[in-house]
Amino acid sequence: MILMYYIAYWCKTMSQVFARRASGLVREANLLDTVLFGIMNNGAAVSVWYYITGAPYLFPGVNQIVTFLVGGFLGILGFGMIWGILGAAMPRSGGSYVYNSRIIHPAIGTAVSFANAGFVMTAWIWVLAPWIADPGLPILAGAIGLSPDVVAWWTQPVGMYIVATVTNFFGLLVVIGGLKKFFYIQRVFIGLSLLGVAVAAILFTVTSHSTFVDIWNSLAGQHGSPTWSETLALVDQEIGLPTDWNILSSLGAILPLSWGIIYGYVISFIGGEVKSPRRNIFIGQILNIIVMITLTAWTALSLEKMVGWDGLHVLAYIDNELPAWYTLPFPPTFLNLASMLVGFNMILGLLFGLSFIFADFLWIPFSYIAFSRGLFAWGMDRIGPMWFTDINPKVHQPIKLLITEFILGQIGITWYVTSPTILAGFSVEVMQLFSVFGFTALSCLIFPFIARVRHIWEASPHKEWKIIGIPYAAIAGFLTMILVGILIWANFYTEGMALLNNIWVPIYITVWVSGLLWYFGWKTFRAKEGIDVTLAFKELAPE
Amino acid sequence: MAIVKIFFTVDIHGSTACFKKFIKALEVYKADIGILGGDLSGKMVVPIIIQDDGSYLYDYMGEKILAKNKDELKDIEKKLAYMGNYYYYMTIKEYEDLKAEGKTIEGRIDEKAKKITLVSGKLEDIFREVVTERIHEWMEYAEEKLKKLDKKIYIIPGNDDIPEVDEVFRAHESDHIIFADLRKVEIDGHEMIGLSWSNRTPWDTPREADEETLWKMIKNLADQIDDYDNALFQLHVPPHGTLLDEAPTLSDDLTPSVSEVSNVGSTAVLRAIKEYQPLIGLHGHIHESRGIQKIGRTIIVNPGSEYSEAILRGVLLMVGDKKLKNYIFTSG
Repeated sequence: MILMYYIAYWCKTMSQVFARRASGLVREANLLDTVLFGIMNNGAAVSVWYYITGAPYLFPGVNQIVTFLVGGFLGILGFGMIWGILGAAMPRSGGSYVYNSRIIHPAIGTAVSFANAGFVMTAWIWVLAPWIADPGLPILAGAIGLSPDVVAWWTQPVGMYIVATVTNFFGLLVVIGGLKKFFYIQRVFIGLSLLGVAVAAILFTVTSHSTFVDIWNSLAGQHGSPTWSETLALVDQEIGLPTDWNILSSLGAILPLSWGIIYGYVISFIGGEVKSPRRNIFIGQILNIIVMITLTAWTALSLEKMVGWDGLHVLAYIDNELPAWYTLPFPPTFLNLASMLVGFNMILGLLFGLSFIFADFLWIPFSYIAFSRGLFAWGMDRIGPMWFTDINPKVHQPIKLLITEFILGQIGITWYVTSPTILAGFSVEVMQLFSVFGFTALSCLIFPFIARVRHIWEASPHKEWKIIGIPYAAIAGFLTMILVGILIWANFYTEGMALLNNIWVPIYITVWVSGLLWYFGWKTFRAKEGIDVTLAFKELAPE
Repeated sequence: MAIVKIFFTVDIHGSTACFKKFIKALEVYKADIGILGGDLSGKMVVPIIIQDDGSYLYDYMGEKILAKNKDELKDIEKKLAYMGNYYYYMTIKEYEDLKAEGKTIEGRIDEKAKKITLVSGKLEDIFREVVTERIHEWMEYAEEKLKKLDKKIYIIPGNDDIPEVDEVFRAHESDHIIFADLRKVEIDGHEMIGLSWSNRTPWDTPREADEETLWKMIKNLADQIDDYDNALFQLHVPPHGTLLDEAPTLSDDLTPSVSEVSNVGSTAVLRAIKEYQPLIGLHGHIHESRGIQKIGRTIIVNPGSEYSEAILRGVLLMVGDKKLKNYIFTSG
């Protein structure tokens, strides 16, 4: 007979319990793993570029200090806190679905999942796969000192379609190759991408304005492009550079900033795997935002120091509009400027150029994973056809779902290539703002007051956190709603987004209503088959 | 053959809440029978230390809490049991002795222990006592409730269950509680075999064997089946290389990866499913690999587990003649 043997166990806090030898006892991610997981999903190089090129262009007159302070305040004390508080109270894997379906209603959880997994993940493919072609290839070519003509064809519709299709296909292949392969690629790619951003930030920090101007002017002379002072004057002549900062633009710029700070929420998908979850999920959700906002602020503010406030607006304008008089052989992104400072050194140039492409590409396979896992979960809950749960016996992946996503992605890519002004990136985010982040903020706001989840709230480590008697969970939910409100408002505030929102808002509403109809439709259908889908969510009392 | 509604759950690891929910689920989900597929034993004992002044000190999820008297402990006793932990009253001297016993283990003795040098002693006795006592309480509770409901449950242990629990199950076998490990049983016209053992794990748990031995154990059971088209294989460990056996990859010091997964199921179970092609394979063992998959004509399921949150994960199966008519995964 096998004897039972036991080990004494104590955790690092020196709290004392005894554990016997049993499987799964140590299956936990530590705090560092948790924070890194969040940071990785913020897509460093792309999100930093998006902020630097988007903030002064869409919101001229931005005061970056105000943007970072207000964005940081709402991001850390609001957004990070709601995911931390909810995650610590319900340390389960499953993301917002877990919180919203419990606190609000399963139908809401399903509708949010429908909008996010079913729609937004496809939208990310049709936006981000073409981005490899443009701006990805021009950034790469410029960073290693190649002429933009080399990649010009690939940024036109046919070339872009080919690049996006190949990117989409590789995204599919990576996922079919297994999650292990994806996570390995993710670690390498994001590691390089973060390194690229950090090196750029260091270069901006140590380079003076006069040195930057000298290098710019020297290159301008070689390529027949205006000098730095002429460039400033030309842009001022075309759009009228702002003379002073204003608060609305500074708040609006939180929108492009948000790309780099809110996607660490995916920690909620691994909540069940985190060691000391009540502490580490909470800290992880906060810390990844602090790290990302610090990195973005460091890069953007050091760039502003180097090129000046006017220069920041000028570079963003050129990057977005590429006026005919600008003839330097690279788009003036922060990555290309960094490459320019080191004389287009091939190794560093590759690092800068690929850091964008790597970070951008990773979101493609991630979208496949989120789409297929989301729909697979619906299938298991019987809120979808049986084939949603089909797993291919050879590759052990839901091939039918992955191919469905590939086809949907291709349809979107075709649309994007033929009409890129409609299918822009900001609009994708708005869907998530309305849906995932808005409802999760609402869940946290009402969490302390809902009788159905009172037992969860009572066991929450943050139930005693109060300010003038108000539970901090509610305050954090409220702050996040302000943040979400600012981000949604910012989309309507900018002229460039108005057309998009006129098109997209009805689509968002349609998608959301479709999510609700999907839930109730399948509920009715399954009832006819003798299956009550509400059993999947039904609370069981022990006695 | 009439459709039989089976509620299957697994890996409740000492959680009294989950066990009671399992019994309750038969009524709420209107299941005909229940199957509990192993790993019923919890993993941790929380010492409640009796202090010299008569107060009590204990650890609750990393927080040290002081209770003035035993009345204040009623609630925590229930909470600990609901979450799958055990508690044990001891003096500070006994507590220090147990800690010292732990220290006699070679190498690291914290949660990152790479190699565990086996010891026996007082801790072993305590675990044996609390594990068997809780299962005894559960069986008494189940017998009383199932008699009223007029329903049956079938139970097998899992690789984490100490051998002594078998005796407790056998002692409580009745018209309503059927111990189904290492034997063939009949479920409303369906033959079912049960196996608690798993392939090797990094933790060297009580019921592990190499794949060859595991195959012989399964073959010995499976050869007793007359009608494979209607058979249920209740094998605790899932087949290797499927959606049901993906677990976080462990480093050498047993730290799990948040970003890498490995297939850790049994190749012997996979072979058995492929060769015998039963109607359904019921599995557990890997808590995070909740899923359903088809291997040939066989449907394999793992309902997953969230016992530490007192959440009962399960799957309700509507089993007909040679066909799984319908199913739904549950979480309550």
